[in-house]
Order: sequence, then C-alpha cells, then structure tokens
Amino acid sequence: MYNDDTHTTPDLDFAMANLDQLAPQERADKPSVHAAHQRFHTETKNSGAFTNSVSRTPNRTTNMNRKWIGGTILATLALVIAFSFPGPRALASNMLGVFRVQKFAAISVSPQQLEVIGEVMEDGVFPGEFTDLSEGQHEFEEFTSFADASDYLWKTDTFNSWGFRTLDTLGEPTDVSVQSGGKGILNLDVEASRKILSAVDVDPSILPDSIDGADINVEVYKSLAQSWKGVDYIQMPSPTIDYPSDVDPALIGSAVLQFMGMDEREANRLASNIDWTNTLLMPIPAEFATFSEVRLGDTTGLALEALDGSGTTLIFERNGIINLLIGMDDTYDTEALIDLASQ
Amino acid sequence: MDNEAAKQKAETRMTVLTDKLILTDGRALDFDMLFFEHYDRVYGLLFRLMGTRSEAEDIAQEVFLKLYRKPPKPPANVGAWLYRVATNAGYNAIRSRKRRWERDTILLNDGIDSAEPHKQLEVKQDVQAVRRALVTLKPQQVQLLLLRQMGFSYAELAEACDLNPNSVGQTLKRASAAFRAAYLIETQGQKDV
Repeated sequence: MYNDDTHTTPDLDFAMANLDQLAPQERADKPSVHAAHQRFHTETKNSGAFTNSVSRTPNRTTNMNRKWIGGTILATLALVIAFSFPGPRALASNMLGVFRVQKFAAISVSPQQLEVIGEVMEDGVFPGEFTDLSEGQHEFEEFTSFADASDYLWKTDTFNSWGFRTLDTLGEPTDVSVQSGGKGILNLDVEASRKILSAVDVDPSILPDSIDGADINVEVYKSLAQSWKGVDYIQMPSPTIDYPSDVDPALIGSAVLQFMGMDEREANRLASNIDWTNTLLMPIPAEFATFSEVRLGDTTGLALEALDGSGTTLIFERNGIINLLIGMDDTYDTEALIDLASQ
Repeated sequence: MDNEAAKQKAETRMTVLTDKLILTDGRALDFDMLFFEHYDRVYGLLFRLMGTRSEAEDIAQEVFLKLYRKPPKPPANVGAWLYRVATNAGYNAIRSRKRRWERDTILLNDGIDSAEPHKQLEVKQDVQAVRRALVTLKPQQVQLLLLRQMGFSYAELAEACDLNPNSVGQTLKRASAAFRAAYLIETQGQKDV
C-alpha cells in the first residue's frame, strides 16, 4: 500500500496502520490550496513577514501581542532550563539549587539575532531529552466568576495558587479561565547544548563537560487568566526548577546573555551582577517593544511597551506569584497598569 | 486505491524533478508554482502532526513565507527543504505545552457525535496517543514516518530527508520500532489511568 519497491516489517506495518489515523479525513480538514495561496499573497504583499504585520488589524495585533508575550516567557523559561543546570549525574541525588522567580531582568534582542536564534530552533536541536511527566493533563477550564475559579483552585491546587486575586475596581471579569500546569525532566546533552551555542557564534567550551546527563526537574503550576474590556490579568505561581548546584551561575548566565547577542565582555560583567537563582531573564525583541523598570509599592517590575502602540504589559512578582497585566488599548497605558497593580 | 497510490507517487516524482529543473537552471524561483505543487503535501504533513486545520494552515503559511524570504541556495531540493522546515516547525510547535493543550482540548471536544460516543472517544484518544508517541521521536524520524505514510517511495524519502538511499530502509525500520515502543508506552499509560 505504501510502496511497491521495498519490503516491510511488522513494526513498519504497525506504525503505518496507526499513522493512517492522522490523515485528514473530513472535507473540512482539507482546505483549498487557492485560498491558502491568496492568504500567502496577502501576507507577502502587505508586509513581507508575519512578524511585521502586527499593526494591520486590532484583533491581529492583540493576538500577536499575546502570542509574543507568552512566547517570550516560554522562550525565556526554555533558556533558563537549557542553561541553568550544570552538575554531574552523580550529584543529582543530593540536589539542588532551586530556581524561583523573584525578579526580572530584560535584554533587548536585535532582529538579526532573533533570526539567527530562529534558525537554530528550526534545525530542531534541543539541549537534551525532555520527558513530560504531566501524563497528558494539559487542561483548560473556563469559569463564570473569579469566585468559582478560586474555589476550583482551592480544591485542586491547595497551596500554589493561594495568592491569586482579582481586580475589584474593574468589576466582575468577562472571561475567567484556569490553565493546568505540568512537569517534566530535562536530561542535558552537553554536545547538543554546545552545538546551539556554536550556531550563534558563542564559544561552546563555556559549558563544562560535567553538565552532560544532568537531570533538571521543572514544574509549572496552574495559572489563572481574567479579562475585562481592554485589559487581561494573568497570574501564575513561579515555576520551580531543581538543578544540581556545582556550577558557577554567572558563567551560565553569561552564556545565555551571549546567546541573546550580547558581546562576551559585557555579558560577563552583567552576569556577575545578577542573582541567577531568582531572576528571570526576559528577551525583548528590539523591533517590537521597549522596556523599563518600574516600582510597584513593595516590589519592582518590568513595563513593556509595543512600538506600534498596540499595547502595554506589566510583569511583576509578588508573594511567589508572577503577574502579567496586559493593556490592549489606550485606556490602559503603563501608568494605568501600575495603578491597577498597586491596588 | 492502487491507482491513487500510483498517481500520488507519480506526482511526487514530477514535483522533485521540477524543483531540480527550476533551481539547477539558475532561474528565479517561481513561488506560485512551488506553492501549488507543494502546499497540499506540506499541509498534509502538518495536519498529521498538529491535528487541527487552523494550526496546520498557520504553520504551512509560515513555512512558505520562509521560503519566500530566504530560499535555499541552488542547487537545492526545494521539496526536501520544505518538508524539513515544516516538520521542524510543527515538531517544535507540538512540543510546546500551550500548543499541546490547545490540540488536546480541540480533539477531545471535536467530532464526537451522539451516535456512538464511546467508540468515537476511543478513536480520539487513540489518535492523541499516536501524536504523543510521535512527539517523543527525533524530528527526522517523525518526518520519515509521516512522509512514508503519505506514500513516498524509498527514493523519494532519501531525497526529502537528505538520506543515503541505501540507508532509508534501516532508518525507517529504526523509526518505526521507536514509534511502536513509544506508542505502547502511551497506550499503557491510558489503560493505567
């Protein structure tokens, strides 16, 4: 069926029989190539790139903004995971350092460096083998009120989300949802990690042999999202990352900074002044946004402003919870978001 | 079925030849032609990976946009380039937690009619197990298995996956064994639950 020029094996038959289920079945699964071609032409005509097309429509802008912010956070976490955990396998049992977010640092990343990083990602090189221990529990629950969501979180996630709150001054949110977390183990592959560094012209020998085979435990907890007209509020407990503790964090931090495009000397200087056990590094695409540090009563945070005026995001940590306030129209500029965060 | 497979195979061969002609002759890439020739298969590959039309379409657009902005230097096999970029893009997307959650949610709520709900649910769960098993494999193994399922011959797989033609059989054998092991782990997990 699959070919007439080769033999087959039981494993191959088994694989093909199962993969047959993945093929588009319904008419609705098979889009028109002409419609796709039209979309392609529209995109290329308007901008030449999806990444530059964010200002075309308000909805598109909002979605891209959210995607970018979410993507930035995920990418940052991935980088933290990828580069923060040295230590020989033998030490894995007597762990560990524990990473928890308390502060944020931002680094502006040039479009050129982003393109280089994107190419590395596309090559599918991963700094190790990741085992997902979530057992498929990737769930999304919607609720009619903050109270209902709190009740659900109280019953299912007894201690991590206790600090979640709502923004009373805005009234009842129009949308409330909880997204489940997850956990997994990254088994580091030093050769693959060095390959990634080499691809972006960073000296691969910065990573010591001892990190090979180290297990990094990562746990992300349930998060709560609330929406009002013009503003979203997302809260998530700080993820925890347990890692062997026999490495110089400044050295690994320097590798991350250089990966983002910073020159070696500046990266070394900055890395030695950052506490890498509690600081989440936020790569900010220079072509999308500017950032500034802001004071929010008892804590500090980062304000990110999209260059096309499509929105502002405030990120801060308070009582073990990472907070994102996302303003999507002129009503919620940086100042207004700081007011909301300070309530 | 035999006729369809033969037709698909012939079309694939023609496409590979056309790409070579376009690039080795040094002419500018005809994107429209490439788009029409490859879109269905790139989309088909991505649909098998992602499980939803919207995600497969979005990523397919990104793949062709990348070809438009930064085409491979000739001589190059555009088909192989497209499948590799599509597989990597889909593979990366499906491995991200958020995407995986969206896919699972859609699959669970989608297409389960009231006629035989239990049977439909079992099918959906099995499809999810197949995808979860795929995600545990290396990208090249995923690409090889999916293209094989789509009807590619060994010679075409060698071209599309940048493999030595003599090693395709062995590589495919290892990939299918890895898939079987991963699938059994996935389905065992479901039964345990």
